[in-house]
Amino acid sequence: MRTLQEVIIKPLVMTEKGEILKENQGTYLFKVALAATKPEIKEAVEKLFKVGVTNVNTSIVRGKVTRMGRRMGKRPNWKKAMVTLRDGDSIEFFEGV
Amino acid sequence: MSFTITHISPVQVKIDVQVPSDEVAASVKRVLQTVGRQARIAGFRKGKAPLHVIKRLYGDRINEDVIDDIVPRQLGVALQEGELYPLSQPQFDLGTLDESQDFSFSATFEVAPRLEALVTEGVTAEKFRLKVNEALIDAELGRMQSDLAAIRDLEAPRAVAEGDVVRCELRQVVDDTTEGEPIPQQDFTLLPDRTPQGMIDALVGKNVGDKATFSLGEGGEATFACEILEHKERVLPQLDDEFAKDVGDYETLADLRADIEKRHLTQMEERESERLRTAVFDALCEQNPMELPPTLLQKQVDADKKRFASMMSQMLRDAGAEDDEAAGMQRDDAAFNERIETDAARLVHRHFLIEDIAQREKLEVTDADVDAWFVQTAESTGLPLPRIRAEYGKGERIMDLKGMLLERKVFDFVLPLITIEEKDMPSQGDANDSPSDSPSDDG
Repeated sequence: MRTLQEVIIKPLVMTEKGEILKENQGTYLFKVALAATKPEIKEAVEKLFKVGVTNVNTSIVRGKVTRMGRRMGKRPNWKKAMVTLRDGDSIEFFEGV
Repeated sequence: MSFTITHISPVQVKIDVQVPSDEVAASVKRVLQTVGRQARIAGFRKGKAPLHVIKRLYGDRINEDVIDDIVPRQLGVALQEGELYPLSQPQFDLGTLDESQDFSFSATFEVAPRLEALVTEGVTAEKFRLKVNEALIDAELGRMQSDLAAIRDLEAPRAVAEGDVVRCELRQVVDDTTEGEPIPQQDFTLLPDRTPQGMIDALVGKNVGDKATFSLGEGGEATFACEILEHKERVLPQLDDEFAKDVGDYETLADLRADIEKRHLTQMEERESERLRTAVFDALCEQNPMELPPTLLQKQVDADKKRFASMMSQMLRDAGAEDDEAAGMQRDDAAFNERIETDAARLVHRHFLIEDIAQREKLEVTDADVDAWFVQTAESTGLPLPRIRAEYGKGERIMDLKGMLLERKVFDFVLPLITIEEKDMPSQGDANDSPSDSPSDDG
């Protein structure tokens, strides 16, 4: 069983697309654990930020291939969660950013 | 926006401006949008970052920009509504900026002094009745006679006299004894306006073949040896109607005399008009004291000092001084400074007095006035009208011209209001002297 903090790794702030989603749909973006499920994400957001969640969409962001000199490498894949809140709810943390 | 005006002194004003919070918020938004258009923020394309993000990142700078946006805008409106025209850079006292609250600031600056009422009672100026002295006409006729003199051989040899023409061979004397190479022969008319006095003095009384030495320069810097090779005399033409016909389009000598008198009279009228204008405004200034804006006065003093220094440098350069020496020509003694300050105060006072009278009596210089001046100047100088327009019709020169025309209008307005005492001219020479305006006259 993952703790709430293990599910939500960090909020994704300060991106143009994130701002548009937040303003237009009340959708907030988070980086979450790769193995986290949608119900886990919903529960974690509701409990951590004291808000109601109406929808959770997730996607796996493929890690970029990088090169360090002659060595090729790859950044790890990570999971992005797009959490839509109940009408009228907002997350204080994002507002202050 | 609301404002209150406090007159600290006749030439100093403080204006307190209150800007309501909605105008502050509008200004903040305006500034954020301006900054946002240029800001590069990670996660956003250029110009796409939301205002709250920009505000958080550039908070301090935004506040400064908002003040820069609000203060000139609101001060401009306040000055326009309050009909104030600052003469100096305003000193600001700014309140704290908070988007949700009214913003207040104050600006202190100098303004033009105003007279409560124009005093013309007791103002008197002297006006001279102009008359051309016969001696002046005779002197000019004498000069014309001299210019048209015929040069002829002597009937019998005699000593050289002033006014004669001599051909000389000159050599510069080096080291008091050695004579240099001869300078090519030339004729000298022994008149003070054509030949150095030292040379005339040395040659008068000598005969052909005689030698004389003379020095030139204040300290006798150059000495010349001179040998008289030829001696001729000048014969002046008779002053009669024929002479008048020879010198111009005149029928009789009386016509010529009348024309000379007319030309002199025109020049004297111009000088007298300028002198009278100065005298009238000086007298008006005396009866209508004004407190003068210190900043403007200081600017005038600085400009006068600079002009004086530049004039002195030029004079020294013309006299052969080294550039460094000429550039270092500065005067800073108490008497000089006092004179400069007095003159500057007189000029500034006169300027404000003219402005005040013009405003009070609604006297203005119109385009028609300027055009009339162009036409008149073209006629009097003989220069083409388009050239006069091109030369005076733009930039600082048109401003100076308008200033001069306004001064004349004000002068025409005040002239009937003051007492003019007509007097005979003290003497021809005095009347021809321009009034001393420049500190250099006795500097």
